[in-house]
Amino acid sequence: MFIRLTVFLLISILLINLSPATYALENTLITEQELNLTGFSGYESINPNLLIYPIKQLIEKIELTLKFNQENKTKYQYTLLDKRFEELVFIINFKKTGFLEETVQRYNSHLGNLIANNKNLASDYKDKILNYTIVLKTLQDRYDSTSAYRLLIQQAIDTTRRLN
Amino acid sequence: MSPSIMILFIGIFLSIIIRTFFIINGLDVADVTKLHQMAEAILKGNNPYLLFNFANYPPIGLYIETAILFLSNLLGIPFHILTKILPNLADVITCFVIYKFLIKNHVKPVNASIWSLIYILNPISIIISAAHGHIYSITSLLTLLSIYIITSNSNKSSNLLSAILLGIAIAIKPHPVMLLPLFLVYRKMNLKQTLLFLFISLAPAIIPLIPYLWLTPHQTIVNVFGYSGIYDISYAAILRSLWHQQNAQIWLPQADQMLSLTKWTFIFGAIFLLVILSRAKDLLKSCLAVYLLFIGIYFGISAQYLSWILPLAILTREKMVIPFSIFGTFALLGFYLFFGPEILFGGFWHGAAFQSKYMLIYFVGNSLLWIIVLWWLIKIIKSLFFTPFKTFSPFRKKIVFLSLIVFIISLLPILLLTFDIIKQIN
Repeated sequence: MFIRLTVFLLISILLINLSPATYALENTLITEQELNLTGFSGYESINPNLLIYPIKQLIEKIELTLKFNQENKTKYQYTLLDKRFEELVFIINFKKTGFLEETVQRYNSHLGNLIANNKNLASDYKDKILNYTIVLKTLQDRYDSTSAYRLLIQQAIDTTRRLN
Repeated sequence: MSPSIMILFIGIFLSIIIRTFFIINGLDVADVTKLHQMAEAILKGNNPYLLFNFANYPPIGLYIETAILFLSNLLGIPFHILTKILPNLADVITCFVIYKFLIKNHVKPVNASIWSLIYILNPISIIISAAHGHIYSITSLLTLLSIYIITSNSNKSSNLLSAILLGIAIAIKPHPVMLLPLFLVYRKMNLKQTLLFLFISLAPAIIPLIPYLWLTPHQTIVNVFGYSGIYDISYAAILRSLWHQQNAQIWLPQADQMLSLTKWTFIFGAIFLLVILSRAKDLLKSCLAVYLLFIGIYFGISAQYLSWILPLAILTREKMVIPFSIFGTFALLGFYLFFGPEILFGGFWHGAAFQSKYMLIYFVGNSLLWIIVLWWLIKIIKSLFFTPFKTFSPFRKKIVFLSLIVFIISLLPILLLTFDIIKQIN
């Protein structure tokens, strides 16, 4: 019985997870072409709006714990920063503003952790981090100057600049 | 002291410790605050139905809370602590009642103790009475006694006593009213007896309402009779968690439609159950089936409604109560973590509510719970229906099929609306 129930749940979660892939492009702030022109490489497949997002976070935490070498650990944290950035871009561009505050907080907190502990490696990622601010600025400009979302994105931009 | 009694007392003692921990660390939040406000209004001589749109219960239930507030002021004990004493006491009494009834039904004493402990140590019962602070356990106890009295004796006075207990239960929390038709058809009663049973079981709820209906008919009717429940648990929760992915919205846009559609579907489903379970030997199981239908079909299921199932299921020694309790606890955990962590964790909680990461627990818990509820309901219907069905008259068989068809047809608009909601998620 339990196996059947688990299979049912897994299938439904997978089906739910497929839905963003079919999301219409007209619902984005800027087109994918425009976004690519800023140097953005692509979205994450599992984003903070999805139910299964905590599983992704859990897997990342396990992976990080299993990296015993300090250098590998730091590199992995920069990989995670990239993921947090791509998730943030997804949330902004797909206008899922209800998730914006917590996504910005998650991104800022990850950045803060890197600034506090692993800033020495930031020079290796200088271009990439600079590009983050360009992409975020492009998206931010689509919001009205009085918008609260603009302010949240500005917080992300400011924190990103602190790493560089 | 016999081992069964020892097991029972150890379990009750353990449960009291757990419950005391929840009560002491609880806060005056959520529903407790609402009850506090209503009790304060009544104590000041105000009409709660006029002041609050959440005054949804019959006056007796509110008067109990008012008496608790009066005591709280008198003794200097905070209301949010004192209000939880009564439902937890009712839970302890229910545990003894279950034990006594099981012994009377020739269940081995040790087994009777274990079944009773499944109730008193059940996380759903503990959370609803000790953490959330609802008084549903008082209603459950009275309903249980009412069922037991009508099923164990066949004289007129037992009918009367059963009706009185059911009436008091309905006067505190109105949900046992959905069991009333099963009581009315359980025994062969003439029209006069049926009307008397109906009057006695509705009078304690209706009579105290009359002054309010006289003074503020519109507000009282809207509040008490128009209440549809909050859609926190069961399949409404599944849809809510799916909808949350859209843009972190916690309310479904089609909720009102769903509430009104599922109200009718539940009524049609209850009619179907009434037709097939009329005069069924097992009134406890029949009542359990109606509650399961409500939780499985109706859209406005609040967290506390899960506690209705426990005493009936345990007294009938339904093993399905175990997965129900596990998944129900899981669903409640998801609900409290996301919507009201301070209700469950009290003073220990220092985070914010509405954190998306808890939506997965809410979704998985409610999905499993809903499947279990429907599975269980079908199992009970199968066990109570198939053998007696052969003895049904041709006319009754036709009525059974007709009510089943109407019930199935009433499910279609709900399915269409559900697909419509899922289609909008992207």
